[in-house]
Amino acid sequence: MELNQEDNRSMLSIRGIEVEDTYAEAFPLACARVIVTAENPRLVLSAAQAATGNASSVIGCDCEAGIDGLLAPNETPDGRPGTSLLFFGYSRPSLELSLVSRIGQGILPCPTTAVYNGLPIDPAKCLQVGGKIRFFGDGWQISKLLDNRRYWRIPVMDGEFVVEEVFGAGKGVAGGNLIIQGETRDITLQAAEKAAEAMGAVEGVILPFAHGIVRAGSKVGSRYPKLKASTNQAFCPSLRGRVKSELHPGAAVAYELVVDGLDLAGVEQSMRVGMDAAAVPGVVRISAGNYGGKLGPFLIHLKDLLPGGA
Amino acid sequence: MLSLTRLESHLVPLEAECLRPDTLASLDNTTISHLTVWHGKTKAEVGDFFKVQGSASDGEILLRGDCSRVKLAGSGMTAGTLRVDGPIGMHTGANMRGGLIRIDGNAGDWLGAEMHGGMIVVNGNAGHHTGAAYRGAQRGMRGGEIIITGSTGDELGSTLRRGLIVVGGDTGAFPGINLLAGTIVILGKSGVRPGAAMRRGSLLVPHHKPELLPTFQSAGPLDSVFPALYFQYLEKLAKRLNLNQTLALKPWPQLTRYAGDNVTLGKGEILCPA
Repeated sequence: MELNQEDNRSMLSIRGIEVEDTYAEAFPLACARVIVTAENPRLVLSAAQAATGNASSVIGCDCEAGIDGLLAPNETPDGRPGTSLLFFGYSRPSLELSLVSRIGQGILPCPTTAVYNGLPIDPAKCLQVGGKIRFFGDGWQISKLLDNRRYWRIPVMDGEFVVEEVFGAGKGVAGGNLIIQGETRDITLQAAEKAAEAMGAVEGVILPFAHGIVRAGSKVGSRYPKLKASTNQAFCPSLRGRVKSELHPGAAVAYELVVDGLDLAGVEQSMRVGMDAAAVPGVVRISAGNYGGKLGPFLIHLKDLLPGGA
Repeated sequence: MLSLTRLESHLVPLEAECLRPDTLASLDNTTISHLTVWHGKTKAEVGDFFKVQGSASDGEILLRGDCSRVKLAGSGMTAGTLRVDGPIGMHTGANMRGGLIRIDGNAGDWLGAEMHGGMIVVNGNAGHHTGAAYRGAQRGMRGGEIIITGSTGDELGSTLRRGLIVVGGDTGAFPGINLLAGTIVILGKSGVRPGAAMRRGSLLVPHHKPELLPTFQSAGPLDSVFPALYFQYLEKLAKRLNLNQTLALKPWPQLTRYAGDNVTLGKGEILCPA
């Protein structure tokens, strides 16, 4: 780690790539982990994509969601291929609604699927998911209590859809982020893709945006009163000269990587490996988005994530 | 652990409902020795029939010797562990609400009758009416689990309302009669007329096609992960309870669903090979 005073900022570096001495500002969201299984991995992925679609940001979606990772048959409750999905919502009630709707519309119709809870259950804070989806059975549903967990068997056209009655809810961390600035779009996109892949591989985190990469980084609020978020002009290259730019002078492009996790440690680890993966020639600065403390209580300083950082 | 060793066996039954770990845990051995038991219709004391050693303060009791005529051991218990090294008599764990009863030997009739919770493990055979409702009762077992590695007698799980009963061997006649809900798994052969008058609930007989009553209708092969969940759970349970050698678990074939009993509600099911 080294410091310089270029551009009147305190700068750090990783393998010679500049790292801005700033922080990502993350915030707490209610979270749930959903295990989906099906007869083969293709069906698992189809169901997972359907359930986690249009869930990039709670700014405009009912929740944030993504695929945490694939699970081998020996890692799932019914011995079939599966996947772990993470869902994040503003509150437990809103998350419960999202889960019921997304599992009910995205996973239940997909052939051979079954859905299980993936987090410890606190009876006072659990989410009624299968307990609501069961009504699709129109009175033909069957409940089974096994190992202190209640499952619902709902008759469907290819047999039965099995879903667990209640799901555990945790307090997750959303809004961890990195902003990668590079000399060209191709180089920056490649670096961002590499970083997104590394970040997504950390267990217990998701990158909720498409491809894990955001080109439309936003700031809180806008000049239009009804709009909660709007483009982050400080990182838009085309607005240089018109606004106070936060871009490196040599940057032509910036991409943001947003990460949500089951806990702060996972988000930090994801950002750590993301920074490492993004530090390639042609990237001129790795930064992070924050909103001056207006958004959330978790301040993740990039300097702490560098090798040898605090 | 409190050790109670049967001094000698009698033909006359001994009613010893005081032998439950949750109530003995707070008592010293002298008090325990003077607890009342009924030998036939004669009032007697625990110390007359058992050698009392150790301490029950850790919530664990071990019954040794020939207890095949000792009735009601562990009945109504709410916590703790009752271990039986040898045979045990009727009504063991009846109305039990919590804790564990582990029997390495055979159990008598009415094992776990009308139990509400906890677990009974029998590394041996059990008698008639296991997990059943007493005569005249509207509901039988209402929760908990009974795992038997061997075989059972007639009317297994009669009027079962909730819970799981697993039998490693064969059963007598009428397993799951009047079943209201819950699950019975029979890994050996089912006796005649399984699930007679069942309203809801599941009777799994994965390795044997019993002769079904005509009031059951085939719904064809069951395509569901539900049997797999039970199989995996039983594997886990056998490992945890160290029953790998005695609970015969081999992969289950494709099961066919027979819905019934249509003389009643008809929402129950027997899952067995076609």
